[in-house]
Amino acid sequence: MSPIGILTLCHREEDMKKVLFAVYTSPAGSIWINETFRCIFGMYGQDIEPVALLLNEAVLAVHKNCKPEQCGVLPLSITFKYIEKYQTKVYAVKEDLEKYNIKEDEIDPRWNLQLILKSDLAEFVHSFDNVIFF
Amino acid sequence: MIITIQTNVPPYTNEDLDTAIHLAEVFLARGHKVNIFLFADSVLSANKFVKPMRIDRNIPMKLQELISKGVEVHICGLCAEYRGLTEDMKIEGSKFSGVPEMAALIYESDRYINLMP
Repeated sequence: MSPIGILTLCHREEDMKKVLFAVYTSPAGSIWINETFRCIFGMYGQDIEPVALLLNEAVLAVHKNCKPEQCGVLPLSITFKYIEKYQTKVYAVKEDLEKYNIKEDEIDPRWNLQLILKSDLAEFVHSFDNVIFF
Repeated sequence: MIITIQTNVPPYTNEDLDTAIHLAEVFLARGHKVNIFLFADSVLSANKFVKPMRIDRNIPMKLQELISKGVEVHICGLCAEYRGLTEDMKIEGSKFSGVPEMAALIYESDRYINLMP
């Protein structure tokens, strides 16, 4: 890479905004998990570094057997290829998974999920420039 | 300051649009630049053909008034298409945009407010 290219890259990294998309709504009964990820995937290439956080009822989405399409609504699986393509960081609150009795071996690996403790949430949230709740 | 308000839910079921409109009026009065981004079902609030009861508020017209005062009203184009909202139905001065424009608004806004019930 040319020195100018390196300088541009450094400048751009400084200019990137980190945005957390936090979704708390159930994966069945509302569209917000799908819409959250649609927003996230649209952020790439736009000077935005998006990250997803699933909390409260939204954590139900990560269970291998969570298939809203069985109720005739949009599947969650349409997000997987883009999570893989963009290597989207997806977090879920550990205590919320426990609340719904979701074991780690029941999590669909395609979510590329990382767990976060409730006690670490405040610092985590404050590390972003913007937090957008769905 | 540049302030963007995103709405997501229908205008005549939830009252988030009313909140957005009131906030926009206050922000404008204080000299801020205001954008409103209509996402998901909230795009329905840009339909100029709504016919609310006379005693109720006409949300599209209120949005149009805001536009005339300098507020930019963005409509998620894909959401609009999904819901059958076409160019000839939308309020004057509003514009179809999309997630890339949302990203740009997030990037350039000093405050980005996402209203969810």
